[in-house]
Amino acid sequence: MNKFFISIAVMCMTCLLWSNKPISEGYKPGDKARDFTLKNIDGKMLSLATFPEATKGAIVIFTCNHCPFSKMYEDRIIALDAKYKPKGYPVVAINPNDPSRVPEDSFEKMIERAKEKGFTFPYLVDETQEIAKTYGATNTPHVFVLEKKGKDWIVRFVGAIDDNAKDASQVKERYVEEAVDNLIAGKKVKKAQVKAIGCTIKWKQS
Amino acid sequence: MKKILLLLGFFLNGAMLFAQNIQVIRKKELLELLKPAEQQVVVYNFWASWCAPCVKEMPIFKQTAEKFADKVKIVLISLDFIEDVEKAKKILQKKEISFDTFLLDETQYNTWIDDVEPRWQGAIPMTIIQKGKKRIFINQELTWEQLEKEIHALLTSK
Repeated sequence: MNKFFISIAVMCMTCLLWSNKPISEGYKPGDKARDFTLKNIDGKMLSLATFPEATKGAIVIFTCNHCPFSKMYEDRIIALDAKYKPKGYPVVAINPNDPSRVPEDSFEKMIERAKEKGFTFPYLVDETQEIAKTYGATNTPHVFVLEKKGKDWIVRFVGAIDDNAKDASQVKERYVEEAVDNLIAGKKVKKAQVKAIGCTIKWKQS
Repeated sequence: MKKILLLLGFFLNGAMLFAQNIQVIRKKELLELLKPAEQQVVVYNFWASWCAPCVKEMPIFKQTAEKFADKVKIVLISLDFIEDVEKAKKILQKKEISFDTFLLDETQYNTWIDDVEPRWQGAIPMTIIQKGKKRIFINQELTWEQLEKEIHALLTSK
């Protein structure tokens, strides 16, 4: 019996030690997400609140031009927008990278890339990187599916688009599609957080 | 025939210079590699040939291997797709990495990222510096000064 209490005590100590570790920042499913006002590639400022197609929510994707994993997903991001914009969940792409570190991610190059690929969704620049930091984006691509509740935007999914970056035809689990389908059906999102390999966001060096 | 032998000789010579071996591993072997060693500082670096900052920081791991030869073990783990193993090998040779390295052949990322490090969202470069239960997790490009400082801290810790 004594042993039992000792092991409980040890477990509690371990928990305390664990909680001393810095908690990872950023949004988790269930959190309320802040809106933003960022410059789109057409030169106009865009917010979630004033985005006419975002009637039910939005698929916010932190991505960029240069990252090979972002490139692998460009066509799939276009497909997501085509499928879910009519259902009230349009794609909003945000490039958070510091262009002085990656010239390929400059505003001019964003305009070029969007034209080349025929992006059907806004491609915004997070110049101060404040939105990426607040959301807790670390990768490109990194998806945050938001559900609109009155005036609030609730995070319902954080993570990867699907389970096969390399080959779209071999995808077995479409995480973002499943999450949005769950929301549209009024269900709880089954897999609300999914990790995947990607490029680090290129933060400004202070 | 002579020509062929000569060519073969050249080839072998080239290969001997930086005998770079990439061992292809799966999740099980990766987790085995990550098991903490009580008395040794181990530097793990997750990289890929397509990741520019990863390639850029690679020389600091060679430098670590040279400066802390007997004290620190370096484990480089490429996350390149298996069909790109030669691309990874080329970079390692160019960067004159002579110790053995690994390539993780697991593209179902969500099945193993949390097992490596729960704080990690999957972006690379990612470096872990570990000794026993102490673990430093760095999810950005490192400089030699930063890496050296962290290694020193762990080497002198009990």
